[in-house]
Amino acid sequence: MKFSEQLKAGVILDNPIFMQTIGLCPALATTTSLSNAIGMGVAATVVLICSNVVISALRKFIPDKIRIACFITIIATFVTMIDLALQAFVPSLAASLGLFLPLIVVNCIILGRAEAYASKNKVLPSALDGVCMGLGFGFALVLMGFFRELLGAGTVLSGLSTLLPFLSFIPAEGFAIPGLSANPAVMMILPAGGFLMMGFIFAVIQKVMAGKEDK
Amino acid sequence: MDSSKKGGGILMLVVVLGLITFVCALLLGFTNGVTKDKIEQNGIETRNEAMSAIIADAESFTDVEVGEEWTAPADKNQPAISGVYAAEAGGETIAYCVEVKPKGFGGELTLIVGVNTDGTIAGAQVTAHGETPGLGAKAQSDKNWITQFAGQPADGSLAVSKDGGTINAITGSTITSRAVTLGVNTAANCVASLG
Amino acid sequence: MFNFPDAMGLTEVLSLAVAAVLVNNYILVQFLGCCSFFGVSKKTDTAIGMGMAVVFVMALASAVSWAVWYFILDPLGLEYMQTIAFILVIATLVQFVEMFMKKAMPALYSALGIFLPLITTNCAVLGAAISNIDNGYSFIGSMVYGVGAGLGYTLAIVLFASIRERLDATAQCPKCFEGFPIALVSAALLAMSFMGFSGLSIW
Repeated sequence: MKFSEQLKAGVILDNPIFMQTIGLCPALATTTSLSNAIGMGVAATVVLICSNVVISALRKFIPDKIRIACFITIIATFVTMIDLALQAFVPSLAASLGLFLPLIVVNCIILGRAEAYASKNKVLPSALDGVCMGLGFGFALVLMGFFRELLGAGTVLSGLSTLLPFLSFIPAEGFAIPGLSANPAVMMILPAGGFLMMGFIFAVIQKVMAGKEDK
Repeated sequence: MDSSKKGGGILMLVVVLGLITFVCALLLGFTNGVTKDKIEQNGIETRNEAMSAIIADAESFTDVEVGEEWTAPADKNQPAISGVYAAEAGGETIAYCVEVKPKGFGGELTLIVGVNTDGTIAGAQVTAHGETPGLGAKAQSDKNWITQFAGQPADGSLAVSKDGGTINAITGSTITSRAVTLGVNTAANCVASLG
Repeated sequence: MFNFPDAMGLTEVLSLAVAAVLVNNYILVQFLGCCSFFGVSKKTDTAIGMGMAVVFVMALASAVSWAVWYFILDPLGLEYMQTIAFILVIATLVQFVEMFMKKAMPALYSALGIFLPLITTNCAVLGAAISNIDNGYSFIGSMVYGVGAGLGYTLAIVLFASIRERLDATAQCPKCFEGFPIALVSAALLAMSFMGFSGLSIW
């Protein structure tokens, strides 16, 4: 399979969140702002790529019977490494992702790709698969995070300069949207708003797909 | 199927899993070794930054020992104090900073409270919390809210307006606001006991 | 050498239970266990089965992970091994429960068996194990929290499944909302109603 096809599959056709509907917990819980969404997306992608590469490299060495236990051990190791690294170097992000950082270990996407792809394919395609699926996951998170922050807090890009220091021209509180930041729809960054936002995004996708089929 | 072959299979499983776990444990030990000091240092830095922001005139901070009645209170409703620091300038103690951990809506909050020696609150900052984003989390993110504590009397009598006090609670987050207020009161009482 | 958390009073444990079931409901407030929440909530029967299996494994996992933390990891200074140790504890536990049930309780196994493998990757179980330690609960407190969180999960998934059954049968909604989107919107409404419990948090 070509990289472009893999990319299209990961981000659009087989998007983990929108098409396979897996990995919903972090997509709902960590998308209260765009910067959190990006942080979670990157952390999960790094774990996904690392675990895909290692599992693919060891695929002939790991006996079938205990493969799940081996996969989980490998994934948990990478998750802990990322967790410690974030706590050390980006403590503010580690604090705001909180419990969901160690919970990347039970993110169905990572174990799912290990089982469905990495354990059956060579190292390079597996690494690329990790990149593509991670991008798809990150894309979904960013979409959720952007709109929830916009509606729920009335700001855009808040906290992004702490996450990515080279973007220091963005104020730490982000750009306030006139009219909305004074009276934001706080519900959108509460749990209920997460479900609601995801419901609407799914509806738009169904609408677009239905439109395509009609033509 | 003879049993010896099956036994070898199980041995193989144990060896493989053991090997993978061993390598993983080594990797983790290594990562921990690299990051441990940095993580500890981050905690100290956050605290120092908060303290310097609250007591701007302070030149240095020194640890002050307080008794168990503050660090591990018998009354479960009294939040524990995890550190007291004397802010010094020109060789004199001008204020005290107290790190206190009241229970908020989403677990413990870590709060730094500055108490002036003249019996007023110098200010407070939330350094760590698990509150709901957009509601309780404003205790940290909304810098205008927490400034109302500055200048209040440090006699442990503060209360949110709902409980008949003068502190305006964060909209929709009475529990968080109460927790911060309780933390400030406890810090004030602790400093008062230092004399 | 061992550094156990303080014992908890009865009222404390009770308020912890209420908090775990309603106020901090795992699915609707904390978003833990959402995959299975949407995956196995098409029928009420299967939702009940999944819920019971989660309660069972969560109680066991809370107890064992508590012991692992306070008897092994904490005294040895291996706090950073928490994630890997707990997930392995849960995976092993699920495997044992499955084997034990198959032999000893075939009736229960045929009812819950198919849900058990799904629980290893249910973040609610690992979430409960880690929360117990983070919040410094006593052993009894951890058990109550584990069972409470499991019951809260069951409550949410059964409520949601019964709503979904109605939705599929009778609801008329715009075509693009059919199926999953409208299920998400109803989950949002359910989550909103659970927000009403938030005042209960402190007794």
